[in-house]
Amino acid sequence: MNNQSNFSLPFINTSQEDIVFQSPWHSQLFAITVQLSEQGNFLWTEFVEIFGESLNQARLKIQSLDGNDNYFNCWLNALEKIIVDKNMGSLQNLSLLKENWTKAYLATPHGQPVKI
Amino acid sequence: MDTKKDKDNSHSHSHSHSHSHSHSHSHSHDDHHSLLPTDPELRVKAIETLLLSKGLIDSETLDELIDTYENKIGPQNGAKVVAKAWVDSDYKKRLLEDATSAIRELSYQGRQGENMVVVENTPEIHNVIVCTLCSCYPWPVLGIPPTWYKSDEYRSRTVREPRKVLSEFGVKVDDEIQVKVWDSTAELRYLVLPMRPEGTENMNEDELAKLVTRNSMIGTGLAENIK
Repeated sequence: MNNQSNFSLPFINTSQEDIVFQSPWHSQLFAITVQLSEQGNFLWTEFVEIFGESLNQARLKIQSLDGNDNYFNCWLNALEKIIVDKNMGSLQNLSLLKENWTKAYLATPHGQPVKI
Repeated sequence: MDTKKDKDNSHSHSHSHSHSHSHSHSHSHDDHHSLLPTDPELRVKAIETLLLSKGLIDSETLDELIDTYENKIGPQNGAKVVAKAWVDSDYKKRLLEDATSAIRELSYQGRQGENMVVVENTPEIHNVIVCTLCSCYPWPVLGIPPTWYKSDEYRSRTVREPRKVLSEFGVKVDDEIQVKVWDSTAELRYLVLPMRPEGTENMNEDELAKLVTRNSMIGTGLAENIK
């Protein structure tokens, strides 16, 4: 066997190879999910099942998931679903909070802390 | 809470300079409000606000978790396991028989490493790991999976045409060598024990660990040869 260093898989972005999380919202999502599971709100296997289903749903619409934003969008859908399924919150709560954050960003002068 | 929000805001500020074109509202120099985060960013903020208010999560633990996986846990852990197995035949035997316990001997345990299986590469067999469901991966020894491990292309093609995928990673597996693909699950995580490179007989564990790459423990690479 030969071991060449310059692999050529078309979907690999070599410049991002060493970055653990590509965006801050990916790491926030990850940490929130892990903490909720470790606090006993759901089993990790329960989350993985919903997440797998979310990935499968996305594949019906997107030809191929790249493992980056579209992968974490599926993770986000799965987390929202398990929050609702386990009665930690409702979609209405989440939707309202998202709207509040949106308004707060639009109403806060650039450079000022955004709060709701 | 305030500290967290201030931090969030500083993120949105820096974000505006690199990705302003992707925002959902038009932006010009006449706009004086803070730049609107993307839809998923706002949804994550909504989740965080909801769960913080209910006491189901706390900012300190979230920050610790992110710091742990960004800076403390990664393939360097798995490399120490592999190097120890290379120099200590008794340890290797324990590792292949009961990987979870043997890995715990080095204090690597817990989260997504509760049930580990180590598969050994030999001159006859080359192993490669994948997760066809999502991205199950042995966090205590490898950290968070790279983006390509989470991609559909890797996940589907590794099962369908492993030799081709391996060749694209630069690993040419001869026809007479069997390729085994192991599908990780939420219950069971695999780690590849790569072959020890030739000419390393006089190296100690620390030196050997430096030859063990992340990809060699996934199976999409080999341990590095001595330079």
